Amino acid sequence: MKNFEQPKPPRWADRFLEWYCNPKLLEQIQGDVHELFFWRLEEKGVQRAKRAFAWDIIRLFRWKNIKRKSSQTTQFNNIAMFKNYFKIGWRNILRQKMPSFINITGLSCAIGCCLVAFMFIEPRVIRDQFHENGKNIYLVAHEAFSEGGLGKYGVFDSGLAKELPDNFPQIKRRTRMKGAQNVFRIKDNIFRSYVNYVDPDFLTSFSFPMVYGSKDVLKDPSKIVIDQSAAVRFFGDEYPIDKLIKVIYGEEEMTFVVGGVIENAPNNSSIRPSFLLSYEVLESRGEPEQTNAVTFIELEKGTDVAELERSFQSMVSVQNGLKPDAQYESIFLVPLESMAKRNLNGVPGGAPPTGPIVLLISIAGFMLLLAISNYVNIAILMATRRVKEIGIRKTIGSKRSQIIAQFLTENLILCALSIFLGIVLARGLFMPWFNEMSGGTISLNLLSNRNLWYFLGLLLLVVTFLSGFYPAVYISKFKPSVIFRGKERFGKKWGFSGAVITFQLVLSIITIVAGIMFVRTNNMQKDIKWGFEKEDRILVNIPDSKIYPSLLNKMMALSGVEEAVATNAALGEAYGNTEFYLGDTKNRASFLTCSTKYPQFMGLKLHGGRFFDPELISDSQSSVMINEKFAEHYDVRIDDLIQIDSVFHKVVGVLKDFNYQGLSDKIEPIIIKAKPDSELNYLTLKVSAGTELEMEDKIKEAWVDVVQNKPYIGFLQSTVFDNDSGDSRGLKNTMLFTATLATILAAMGIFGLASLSITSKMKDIGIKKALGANLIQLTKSVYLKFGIMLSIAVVIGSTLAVFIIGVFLDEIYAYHDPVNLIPLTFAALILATVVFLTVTTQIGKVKKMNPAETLRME
Amino acid sequence: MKGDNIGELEELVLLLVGVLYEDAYGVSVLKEMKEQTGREVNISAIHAVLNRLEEKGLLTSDMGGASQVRGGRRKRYYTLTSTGRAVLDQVKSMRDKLYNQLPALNFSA
Repeated sequence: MKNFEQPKPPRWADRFLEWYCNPKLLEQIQGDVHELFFWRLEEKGVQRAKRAFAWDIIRLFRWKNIKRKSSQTTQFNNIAMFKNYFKIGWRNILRQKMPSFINITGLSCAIGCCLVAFMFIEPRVIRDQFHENGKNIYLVAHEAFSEGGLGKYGVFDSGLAKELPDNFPQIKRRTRMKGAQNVFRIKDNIFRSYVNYVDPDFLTSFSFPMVYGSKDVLKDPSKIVIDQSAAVRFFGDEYPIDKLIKVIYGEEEMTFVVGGVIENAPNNSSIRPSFLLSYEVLESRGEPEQTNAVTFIELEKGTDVAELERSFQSMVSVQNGLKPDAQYESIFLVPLESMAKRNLNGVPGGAPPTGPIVLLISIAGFMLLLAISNYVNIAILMATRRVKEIGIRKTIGSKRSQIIAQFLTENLILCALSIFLGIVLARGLFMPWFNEMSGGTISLNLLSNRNLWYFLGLLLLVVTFLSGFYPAVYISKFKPSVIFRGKERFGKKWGFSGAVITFQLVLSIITIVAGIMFVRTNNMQKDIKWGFEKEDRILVNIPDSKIYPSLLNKMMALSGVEEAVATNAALGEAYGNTEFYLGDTKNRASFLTCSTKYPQFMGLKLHGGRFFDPELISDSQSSVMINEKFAEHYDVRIDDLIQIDSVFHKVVGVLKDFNYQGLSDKIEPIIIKAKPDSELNYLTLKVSAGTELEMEDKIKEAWVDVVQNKPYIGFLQSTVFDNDSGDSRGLKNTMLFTATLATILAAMGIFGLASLSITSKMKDIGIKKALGANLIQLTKSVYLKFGIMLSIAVVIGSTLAVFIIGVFLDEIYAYHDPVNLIPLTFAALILATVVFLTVTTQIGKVKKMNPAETLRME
Repeated sequence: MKGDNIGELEELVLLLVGVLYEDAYGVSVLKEMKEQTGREVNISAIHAVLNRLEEKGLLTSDMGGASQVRGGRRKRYYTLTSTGRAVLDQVKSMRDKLYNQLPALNFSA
């Protein structure tokens, strides 16, 4: 020590070394680096020596030098230790029945929700991973210019596609796929269905297992392959092979023989083949060679995809030579397994629906958060009863990390139990409920889904850690000396638990308000003013204008049919829109063509002008009616001219606004134009009041009598909006369920907290009681605490609810009540009642308590 | 054990430990290497090599006495074992044998 002020090596680096280094090696290593430091100090100066020192220590951070438990004995002890943790943990769960019950119930409900969300989302996000050859299957896609931009299209020229395997030896199999709506006749049943025309290799490349028949059945173009659900629907228990299915192409009818039955496509499949016909059928029917089809190629293993893609570019010029009107820019390959994410034009299966996914994730997240908050709160209070155990463990020599490990292990047991119960709950209750409510199709087969097990494993770790970490750290902090002196006052600190409870209450307020709002909106929609008559009206299709007169006669001859008027689409169904000119400005609006009598027939109300006059020929040629919205929006009056398809139409009447698009859309401007009845798609029949259901069958019979070889399409006007209200009912039920569960979870949390905090203060209360305090005096403080938390929660929760739920409702419904004081007050009242009742059940203990008992304790 | 063959740095460190005789520990090997060969190696590499050589049985080590410059921390001194010596001999003889078989340089070619 020549120099008193001698510089020292950087402290942090030295500490880092001490922290990581194996104690057996520490002395020599530390000695060496220090020696080097002082040597460099003389040679190179302070700064460089310091830097070199730090660098040395970082370099010394090697597996060999790092501290770890390597000897056999310590490992053995650890196992014994963990065994002990498990035992103690299990005993604790059993001993503290009420808190354990609250924790496990809460967590398993939340995990059940997570599972439902997972099972709903997983097949929608992770798609097409089940094909055995999936890794080698690619979609051939192209880029082309259209309507102002370079677009990506998931289709490929079918003529070129046909020759692919001949031109490229790397291609093992190629299958084209083209979908079409066709009319089928099976026995007496005529219906429309979607058919996929595919090459014979389709069944070999893709893994849709065959139930009956062989995989190369489609080499014979007279065969048809159907899926199991179709087989059951049309043939019931009968053996489907060799049954006949007829397909009606216009006037012509072709007969196919069922040659194979495949299993139903799993939920996560983009390709959903329910009817498969050979692509040759399409070609033999005069489908032009140069048409686009979805094209898949299966490559030989180990093919260089990038190189193949490059050599594909040579086809661009071939294509562009053959088809000058459909110029390709480039050709590219998309792996089947990531096809769904690309969302290319023309490819089966689209992007996953974001709305429901976000909703389900947030519900599951909410629940998990609530359950975990319960857990954290209760765990802290529960553990404060065990401080003596912790004190003893620490005195014997437990390190803090060991105590944390102990608590986390106990937590792991509890979480594993909850996950198990959660699975049971999800499988037994939540998933069937969800399927019923949403009409959804969550697969109930849990065991075979490998991703689910990964998810559960992850969930176990996350939940264990999130719920257990804070309590474990908090508990392990106490010093034994303080614990045994009895100075540490537990259960007195309300800060943290109070915040957690308030947070839970906020979450429940939001969910309750959401539940109420959805119920209200749903009720509002039930008595919404449609603005037209939707009862007692049945629509049937007019397949052909030639057949119209006989169809009309037949229908009118039915007793019970009062009137028949044609329209192109039912009010409320999606119908087209049109371009129109007002003066020189071009605009678009919804467009309905119908018979001159239709507006009056449907009970639409006039706002001004007149209805179409069936007697006036001009009315079915150059007159239109518009709705109020249109008149307002474009400032159009009676007798103004609107140009559609270069014909000027005179506005003869303005209709009062009516709901013609369902409830999720706002009322938009619409133009109604008259046409002769025979040119329209549907005949609307007005039947005697209250007889629609029985008349529907009669009408169908009569229809089938008149029309041959055409599928019957018939429905009630009143059911047009059913889809919409079905969705909204599902949503309402989901929200109500969530709100109830959230409130129950929060209530359980309060219950646990109130009970534990009262129990921990029994002695205080006993003394006060002995001195003559009455019940109100004793319990005022408890009520006050929860009252304060509730008020804070109501304020925060209401603010958030107005914002969040407002946005949410706007997203879903065009018209809804504002989130105002009524639902907010209602939610606050519900919650206040729940809080009051929960706390009161606990206060009962205080009332019954005999002060002598508690004072004698210990 | 990674076998009996030793690498180039290992050979160098082994030689240096032999050369330093009774004063071979991490830093001294490092300094000696710098002085004698001009190679600068990180101390962590020296430690790693010394450990490896000890595992292979070519070196033995002992904790020495405290020294002031290291804040009283002891050094671990390494000594060459007979196996280590034998390996060095073997490496040298093999080198020499191979070297002698080199054809004489022929500048006319």
